[in-house]
Amino acid sequence: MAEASSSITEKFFLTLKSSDGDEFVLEESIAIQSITIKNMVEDGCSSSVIPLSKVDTETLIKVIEYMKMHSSTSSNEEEIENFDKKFVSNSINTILNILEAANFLDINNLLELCAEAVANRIKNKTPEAVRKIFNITSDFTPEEEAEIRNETPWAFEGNLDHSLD
Amino acid sequence: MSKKKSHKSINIPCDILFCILSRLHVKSLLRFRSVSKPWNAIISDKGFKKAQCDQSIALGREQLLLQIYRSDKFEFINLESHQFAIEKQQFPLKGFERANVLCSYDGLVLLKKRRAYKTFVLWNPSTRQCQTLECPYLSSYMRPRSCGLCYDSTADDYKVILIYNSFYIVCSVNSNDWKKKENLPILKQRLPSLCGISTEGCVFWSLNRTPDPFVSTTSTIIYFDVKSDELKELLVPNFIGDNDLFQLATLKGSLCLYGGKINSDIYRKDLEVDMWIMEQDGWKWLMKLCNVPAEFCESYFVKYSRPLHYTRNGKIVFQGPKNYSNRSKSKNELYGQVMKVVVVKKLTNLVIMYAKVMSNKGLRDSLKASIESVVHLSFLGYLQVAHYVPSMLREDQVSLDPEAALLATSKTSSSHLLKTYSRK
Repeated sequence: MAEASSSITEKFFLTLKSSDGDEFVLEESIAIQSITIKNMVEDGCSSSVIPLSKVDTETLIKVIEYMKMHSSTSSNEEEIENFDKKFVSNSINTILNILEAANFLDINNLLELCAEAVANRIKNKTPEAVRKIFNITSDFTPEEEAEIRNETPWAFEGNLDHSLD
Repeated sequence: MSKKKSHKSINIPCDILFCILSRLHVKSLLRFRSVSKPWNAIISDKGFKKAQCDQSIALGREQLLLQIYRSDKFEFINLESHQFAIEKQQFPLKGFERANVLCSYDGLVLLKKRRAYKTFVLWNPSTRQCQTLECPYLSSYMRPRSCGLCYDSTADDYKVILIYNSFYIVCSVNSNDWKKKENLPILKQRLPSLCGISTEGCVFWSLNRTPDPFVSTTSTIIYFDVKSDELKELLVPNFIGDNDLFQLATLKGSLCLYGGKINSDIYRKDLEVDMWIMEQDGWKWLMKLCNVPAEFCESYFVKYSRPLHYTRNGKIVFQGPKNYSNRSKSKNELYGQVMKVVVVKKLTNLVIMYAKVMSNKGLRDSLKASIESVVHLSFLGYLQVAHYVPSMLREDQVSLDPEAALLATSKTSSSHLLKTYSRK
């Protein structure tokens, strides 16, 4: 029994390379939570290094942390829940970077986790704070903006959050 | 390191932005329309609004709308947690005070103007917008016996269905197109007495046979099919026996049947309720509900309770039967008071039950739900209750400001569609 299972779970390793040129070795079974990587493996691209040109080192470390915790073998539900809670307490910029990486790597759970986290973080913010966080310059004229605000003035009432994180 | 971050400009791709925004509450979205033109374009998009509504359901934001009978006070209870966050709102449209709630779907609530028979209002409490609907076919006072709301995806329109004794009326909301139709023969004998259960493209009603006032068995289900624009009869699934009582509900946006055998002894204590859900390929047994608290363990349970919501941590929320013992107590207290009290307002108890869903390891696909906690809420006055999903739907067609809406109504002679106002 033990022998059989060890032969089935013979470990394959992949090397992922970040946009900063750093290489990370990861078990294939963990890495294929990313559909993008899974497709590459199935197409036979896994023998060499997999370049992830859209993911920087800092973000890739976080993504790998997440995939290790969420791989089916290791952790229990409570551990995962606590990990996720801590994971989304990263700065909003970090989460946005992870979100982009999750979109590129096609890791659906991570995408949902981060999208919900960003939504939770910005829900009480002012439009001005949101612009700064997302690095947006308003393309409305003051009149146009006033018109939109006047359509639903009550949506601008209450304790709004001006902070940028 | 923070320095490195700050000069990396964030340029979020549109699909990721869509993902983030669709998880926001309506109030935040209305505020964020002023962030920039691209944000306004995404938030105002119809596809986005539909996605946001679906996401509201997925994120457990379904609510219970309560109207204290004959008042403009509306309360919204969040069903996801035991700590109810109750939001309050006043019905905004002047000239429509104390309108009665008829039914609700996709964040829209249909109300009937009080003491009027042909004027209805479609209200989105989340965006605070209203639209009046005037039925051309009704000439004398008639109260709809039943009603329903559904979405027609091909025409991108909502339809209102009103069922009367000898006919029914279908209204396409966008085009303000009203049709009067012959009832199904079966409706001439029995009429549904509840508001319809809406799912994607259909509204369902169950017609209950009532052999005695306490027990009714499900004999027929009718539905309105948005494609054919007609009422039809649905074959009662073969798992429903002659003496079974079933009710319809929605769970996670799908049609749900729940109920079970009705024993001749209506006070039997071993009540078991089965729940079925309508999937693409037909009815699928979902689970059995056990451990119904003894005070509710009678056939009243199925008749007066209904599943409302599936929480994200695997609990089913039920609206329980009214608590009779509690009510009679409050009555006695009131009777004991001085006779000066002229109007005695009744206390209504709303019972909310949380059932934990457990999988039964011995049997594959066997789920059991067991009632864990019961919450009693008391309200002074009768309650009108509807299931409500917060959404931004139908915003574009509807007047934005109730004050301006009032002006618009007084200007147009027949208090016609307020649509005219919002179209610039």
